[in-house]
Amino acid sequence: MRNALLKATALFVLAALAVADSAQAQWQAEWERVQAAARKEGKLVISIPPSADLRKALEESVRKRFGIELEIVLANSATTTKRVGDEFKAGVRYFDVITSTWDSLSYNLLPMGVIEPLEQSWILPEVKDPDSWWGGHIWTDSAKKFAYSPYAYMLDNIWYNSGHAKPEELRTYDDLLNPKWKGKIAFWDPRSAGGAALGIWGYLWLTKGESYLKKLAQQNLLLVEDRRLVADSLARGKVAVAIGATYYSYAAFVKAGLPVKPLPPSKEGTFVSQGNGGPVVIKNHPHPNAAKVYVNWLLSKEGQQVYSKAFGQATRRVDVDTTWMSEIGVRPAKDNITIDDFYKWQNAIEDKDVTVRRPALEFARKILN
Amino acid sequence: MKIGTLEFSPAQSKRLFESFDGRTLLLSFFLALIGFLVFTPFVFLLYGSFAILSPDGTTIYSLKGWREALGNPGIATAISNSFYLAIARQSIATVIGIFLAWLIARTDIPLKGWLEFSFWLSYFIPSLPVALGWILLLDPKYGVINDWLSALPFIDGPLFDVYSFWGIVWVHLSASTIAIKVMLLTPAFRNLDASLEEASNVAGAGSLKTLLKIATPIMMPTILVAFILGLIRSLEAFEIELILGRPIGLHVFSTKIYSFMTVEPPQFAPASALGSFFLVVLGLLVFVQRFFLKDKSYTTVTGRGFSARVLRLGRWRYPMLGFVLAIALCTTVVPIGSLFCATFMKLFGYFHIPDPWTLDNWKHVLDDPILLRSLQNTLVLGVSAAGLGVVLSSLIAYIIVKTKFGGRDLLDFISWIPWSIPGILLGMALASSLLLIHRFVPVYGTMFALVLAMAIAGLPLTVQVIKAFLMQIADELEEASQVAGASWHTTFRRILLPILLPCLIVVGLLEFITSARNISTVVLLATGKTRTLALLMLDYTAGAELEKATVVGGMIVLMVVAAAIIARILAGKFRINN
Repeated sequence: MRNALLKATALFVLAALAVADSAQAQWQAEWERVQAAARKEGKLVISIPPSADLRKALEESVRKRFGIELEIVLANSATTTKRVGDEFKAGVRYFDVITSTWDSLSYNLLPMGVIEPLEQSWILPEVKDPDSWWGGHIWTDSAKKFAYSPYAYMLDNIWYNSGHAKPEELRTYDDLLNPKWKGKIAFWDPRSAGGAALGIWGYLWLTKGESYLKKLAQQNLLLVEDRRLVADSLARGKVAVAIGATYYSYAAFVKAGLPVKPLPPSKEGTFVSQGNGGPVVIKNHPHPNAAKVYVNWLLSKEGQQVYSKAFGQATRRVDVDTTWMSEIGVRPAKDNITIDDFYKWQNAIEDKDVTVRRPALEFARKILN
Repeated sequence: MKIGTLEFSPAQSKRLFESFDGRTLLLSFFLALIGFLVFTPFVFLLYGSFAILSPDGTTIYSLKGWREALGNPGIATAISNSFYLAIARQSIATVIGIFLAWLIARTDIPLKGWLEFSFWLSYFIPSLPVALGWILLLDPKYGVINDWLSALPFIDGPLFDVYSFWGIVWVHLSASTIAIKVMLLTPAFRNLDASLEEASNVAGAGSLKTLLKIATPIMMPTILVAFILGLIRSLEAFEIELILGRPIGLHVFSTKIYSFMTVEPPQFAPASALGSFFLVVLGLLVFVQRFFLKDKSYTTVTGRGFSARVLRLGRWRYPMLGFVLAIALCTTVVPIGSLFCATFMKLFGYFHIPDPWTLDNWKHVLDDPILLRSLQNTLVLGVSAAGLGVVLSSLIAYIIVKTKFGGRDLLDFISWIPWSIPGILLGMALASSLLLIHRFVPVYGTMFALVLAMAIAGLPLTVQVIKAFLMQIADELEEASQVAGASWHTTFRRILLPILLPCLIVVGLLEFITSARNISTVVLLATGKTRTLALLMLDYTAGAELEKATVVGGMIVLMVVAAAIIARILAGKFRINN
């Protein structure tokens, strides 16, 4: 009896190993086949957020690793989605993969049905496995099919000029309403196409309410559409506090020794950003194999390392070290908060986008003229 | 007999009937082609102002876009600001431009070739570094000039404020508003027969009176074209207003359109509605121009003798040189200096930080793998757009001025339309047009799409410049050639082309520069493969890397300066009075 049990266990283990082997052989064969086909296609057209560093890093990595040339268009997702929609209607298939969250897709591409479910492209087990990701698989669309969310982090998005303000004077959001700061606060205009500015505005709308934002607007905010000019205004002491712009806008000013510093995180918290979103695959795209290679590589450990380093958006992958990112004013969600807090403080997933981000934007349009 | 104007004598009518018919057909086809290229984007723009995308992805048609555009808080103030700013700077620039062009073309002022060239240079410099350069000097808090002046005992506080109505006017004047006047008016002044001025002098009029009473009235078509072109461009301008106006809450028409386009999500319907509204303004301005030019003769280049003698300034020669040099320095040295300074700075405009200089910006840009391709693309785009633009605009201008073709008024109006649509909207509308015909003419996504877009976008300027030039050329030159037995082709090649050549070179150069610098019209049409230097500069700017963007800006300036030098050499060789 005992022997029979042992035999059965051994058989089961062997069968499991065989299945695992066969699964591994399957995905490896598939991965090899797709890579070979991608090399034949030779190129891939993608759209990414405007960043020369990110462009260079992706171009170089994908060319070296897979022999595929990336043709990259730099644009914000709102511009790209409009373009893809117009092209699709006219029968033009130019883009393979774009970068977006649900928000930009929701205005035309999702209703038009031109997005391919992303999981169709997944081959690598390290991408498919929810355990590779902090919080499992997170999507910004409710259908959990089209707009994957590989990034989650908090940002230092309120900065001060140490020659004109002290951090102890600005411990809470209410401190910004002090008459002392009237005409001394710059805000990266939340109405302009920029996620971080709208992110903090939406967070304040949710946690502090419209009356707070009205009072804040009455502080004669200097509304600036260009984040570089936000940083410049603060560095020159035109304003004492600046809201919305993040480390990347201030990096050159910090390196030059100018008196700009991030405020310590407020006790009232801040929003969790999901960056510019993940890869979104367009239906009937011209380079299907190269797109699969890119999507898998981008969501792999290596791809996420390259992306996070070049663009400063912290990945949710648990096997990528993100602790260094605090140096650039980025606090990765996986190193700092719980998953419950993430869902509470983010405002880019479809339901929160609809109930927080959009009404907050509408309110900004109403009161910031 | 006026063959050049398509009028035929009864004796020739039978023989020429077929030719006339063929020409009319050809001209009608050409009108239809230009109409399609230019009018379709406008139709798309108008369509876009009524089309609203509903949440389920379907398009609904309503007046919501127009309501939002016209009901936008502050829109009336923004429109009036646009007009005040445009009229202020065009009036000042026209007076200064006439005077400078006259000094350069009609007097013995020293260094005239260099002076004229400096205004060309000034026109080529993108307006962003010009604005940043003046901020550096005239910012009320840290501007270098304000700092110097504050040190004087009798001055309390900053004397200048670049963030003001007159600050914006000043920056515009120094950026390109004066320069374009000098560029357009100088060749025309040069073609003015000096015998007219000599006659005025003989009759006892002084130099200034001759300028005001003789030269200026004769130059009216070119002056009007320069004024109206400038007015329209001023109403469209937004970069300087965005940088200097927004911080003080001064909005203009174009920054309102820009705001609609850059909000999340972009509001295309109200932006298109405001863009369409601009056509009404344009229509009025075109009507004004036609009203003033109707039934008047402005011929200065005739078959008679031509005197190119210049006026002697006497003791005013060097003071006048000082005056022109001061303006030329303000419009060239300040912006070019600040632009190249910025390329070597760790932080643009921060001179007081420790060790402010670096070569890293250049290293970074020169190491960029797509730099070379962007450079090639820019050259291809610039040269091709210049070629296509010159051919198209010469044909249009010739038909409008030198023929009696029935559709020429319509052609004239159509040629203005691209300027009725602000750059980014024009790019969007052109993209829609090319997508519409993509199944039959697959140019969308190619370099030719960018070439076509730039040739169309440049039409108003290029057509009007050539038109004004052609209006100065008497029909008798062509008639004499025809009488001598030359064919139309030979007449065009041997008579018209040599006279037109300096003007065509200027037009080609303008088109090249406009294409090399343009961002808004091509950004939605360009692909990763067809990215130009200007778009690479945009990539760096969007990534908040202003110093690297200025390196690319500096490269664009170097390229257009080289083009300008070549064009000047060529234009100088073929100048009429030479």
